[in-house]
Amino acid sequence: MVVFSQVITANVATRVLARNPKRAAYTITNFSGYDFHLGHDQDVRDSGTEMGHKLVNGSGWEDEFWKGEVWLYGTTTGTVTIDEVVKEE
Amino acid sequence: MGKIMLRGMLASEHEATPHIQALDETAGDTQTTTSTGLVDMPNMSITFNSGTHTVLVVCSVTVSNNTAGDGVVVAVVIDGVNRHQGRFMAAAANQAAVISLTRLYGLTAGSHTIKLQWEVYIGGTATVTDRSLQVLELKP
Repeated sequence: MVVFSQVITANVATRVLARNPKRAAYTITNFSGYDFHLGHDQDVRDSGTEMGHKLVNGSGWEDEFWKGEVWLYGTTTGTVTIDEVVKEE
Repeated sequence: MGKIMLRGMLASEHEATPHIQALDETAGDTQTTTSTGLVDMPNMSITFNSGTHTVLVVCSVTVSNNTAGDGVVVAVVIDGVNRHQGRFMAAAANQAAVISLTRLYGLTAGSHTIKLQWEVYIGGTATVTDRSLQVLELKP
């Protein structure tokens, strides 16, 4: 397994992870000072029918098995840390 | 040979002031939810008094969803604030998995409540069976 760690600047409609069939897990740590909403294989919003899963400031998210795209939506630009665990060849 | 000393383990030398306060909640009964918003997971809440210290929160819950493609989200909530979440997506109906979340948090002195909440992801009915929540207050 290899862990790729990156700090990403996100705001509206930001795809933070592309589809990766070799992904085993990923985590997002949000200490950006702002809340974000999380989408899987689709862009999301912070309200309404397209509302994503809320990732509040000061919290984390972890997810095994998901190999698709990951999107973030925030009304203010902020930086989050994303760790992606990928199976080696 | 060197001597390894684990500070928190020397109970005999520090019986008057233990360095760890350990709190534990476990349950094994079957509970279900169809809520798409986070709600309290039954019997998974700990209220305690702490100093201004770091706490290690460890939880492990066995969950499933009766609908393929739907999931379960488990969240660690401290004093009403969602601090960490984990998700499991069921590839097949009633597929079960264990969500384990472990993280350090800083607390100020006073009374605190740490609990687990959960919800379905997309839809379906989520079930939880064996589960535990442990809190270790680490006192310097």
